[in-house]
Amino acid sequence: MVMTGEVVLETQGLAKRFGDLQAVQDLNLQIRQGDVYGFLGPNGAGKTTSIRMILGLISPSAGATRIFGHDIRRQFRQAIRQVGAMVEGPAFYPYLTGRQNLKIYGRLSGGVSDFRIQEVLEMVGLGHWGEAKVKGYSQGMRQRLGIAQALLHRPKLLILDEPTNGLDPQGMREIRGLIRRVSQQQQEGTTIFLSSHLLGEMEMVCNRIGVMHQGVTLVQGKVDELLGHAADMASIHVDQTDRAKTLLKEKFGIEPQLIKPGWLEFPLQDRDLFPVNRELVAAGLSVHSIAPRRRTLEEYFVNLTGESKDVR
Amino acid sequence: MSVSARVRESALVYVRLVRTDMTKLFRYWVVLAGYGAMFGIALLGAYLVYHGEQAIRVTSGSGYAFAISLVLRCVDFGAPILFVILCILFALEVGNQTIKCILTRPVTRLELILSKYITALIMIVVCLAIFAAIGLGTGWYYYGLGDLTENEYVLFRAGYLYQEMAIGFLFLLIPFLTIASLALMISAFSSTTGGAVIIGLIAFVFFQILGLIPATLGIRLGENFFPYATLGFPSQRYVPLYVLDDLPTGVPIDNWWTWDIQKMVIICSIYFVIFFTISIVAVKKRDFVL
Repeated sequence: MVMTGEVVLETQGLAKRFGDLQAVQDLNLQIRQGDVYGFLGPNGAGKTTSIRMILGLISPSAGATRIFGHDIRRQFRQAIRQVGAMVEGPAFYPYLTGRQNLKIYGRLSGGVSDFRIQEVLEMVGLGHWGEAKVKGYSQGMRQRLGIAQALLHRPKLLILDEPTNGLDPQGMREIRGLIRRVSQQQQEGTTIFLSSHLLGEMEMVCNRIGVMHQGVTLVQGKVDELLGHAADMASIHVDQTDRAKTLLKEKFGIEPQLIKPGWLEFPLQDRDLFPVNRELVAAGLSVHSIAPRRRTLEEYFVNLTGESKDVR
Repeated sequence: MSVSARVRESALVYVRLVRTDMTKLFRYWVVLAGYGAMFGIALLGAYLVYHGEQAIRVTSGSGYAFAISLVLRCVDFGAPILFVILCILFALEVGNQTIKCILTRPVTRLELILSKYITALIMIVVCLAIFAAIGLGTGWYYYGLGDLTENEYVLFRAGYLYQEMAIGFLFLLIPFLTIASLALMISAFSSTTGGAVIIGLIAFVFFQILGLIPATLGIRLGENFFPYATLGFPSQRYVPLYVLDDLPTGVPIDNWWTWDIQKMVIICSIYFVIFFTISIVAVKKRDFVL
């Protein structure tokens, strides 16, 4: 049995080169039991390539992956037995029903009953769609079925690559809830490794993150530690933003940013917000709100990777 | 884990893989259409052969002769259809991207490709069984089956005829397994079922055409002469049927292990080893970037 905090997934110097393109280099991940780990990065950062290497779908140019202490290439069966995965979108036989598809995958995993198939179908919200052919499913339904096939054999490590792709906001919310439930379901908690470029999503479910950019891991650690426990930004909703900006600069030496009409933002830097509010009101401005807030993952991410939209 | 436990586990994986293959393939319209076509060819062939014989007044004379001659024609037309079906065996997984769901389960690549060969063998057996059943069924309907007699003299007992036909069909599996290995090799390199079918058919026609080279052209190695025509290994599928063809005329098969059969086994084995090895290496080394 895996003890709490034990390393479940570990990569050492994992690298992949496609011709001249270094898709991934020196990837060193360490995911511990019970983690909900968010693997973040813009499109083309190398996330999916890394996941494919971790699962043994492609061979690395260098480095190694160990899952539950087993090398994925040399002890494949032992390593993969307790892993459930969905890599870059769901994959099914379109001419078969959802249930038949799950039955096929369940048979390959072994020990999956019809009851369990119905259970996972209901878990992902497809309880009434099991008998419909997959070719008639919407993208969102396929995505849910993809998650269902990964959950079939109650894996201890769940690897989901962009699990909310193609889902509407309601669907995203449901999948978030499902991920939280799965992570808390078992006594020791299922370890979850999620990759996504939807930072808001990741912030809501993950306790640890790793950020990848242009094939390199820029940072990894606990979300709280990376973003900071305390609020480090302040936002003000005020009626005259230009006057407020001038006032804040003169009185406090603050240079706030206009983030949207009527909203200003500036680094908090341990500053007390009461005098700021007092000065703004005394100057005749209508302050609708003034509040400290924690930096979002998106802001942290943009700070790390830059605003570049380049996809390699 | 002990060796016997490992073997047991691996055997279980093969059973699961082949069962899942059967489930998905016999619900796939391409496979169903292919078998439907083979069924149709056999039935239509029986009708045409019988009425053709009646028209020229040269009849098979016995149900066995009719069955063997029909199976020969069915194998001629059925082989390319079967070949196309086998070409999609692996490409179907890559085309649907289901390969990534299979390979992220406790299934090794070697087990996957070997299970495809087992599935291919089952599909070949089903195909030949259809031809044999329709051949014998229509042979019985038109001429009757039973002991083979001439002027009330029993040439061969029915049991003997069935036994020889069974041996002939077992030998027939050898060239078909080689054809299957070519199909799976092409399938292992393909990313779509359509691509696998097109490249597969080109390869099949190419090897088939090699069999048309005049038998006088070839290489002499010491005492032995090797005709180039033998490179066209798909033609080897006729060899066991030609041996069987003499049976209903009253010529007993004293020895199945003739030079023709030996040649068939050698040629098909060489090709099999080549195609089989290439497909295993291809699947083991391939990066599934889907």
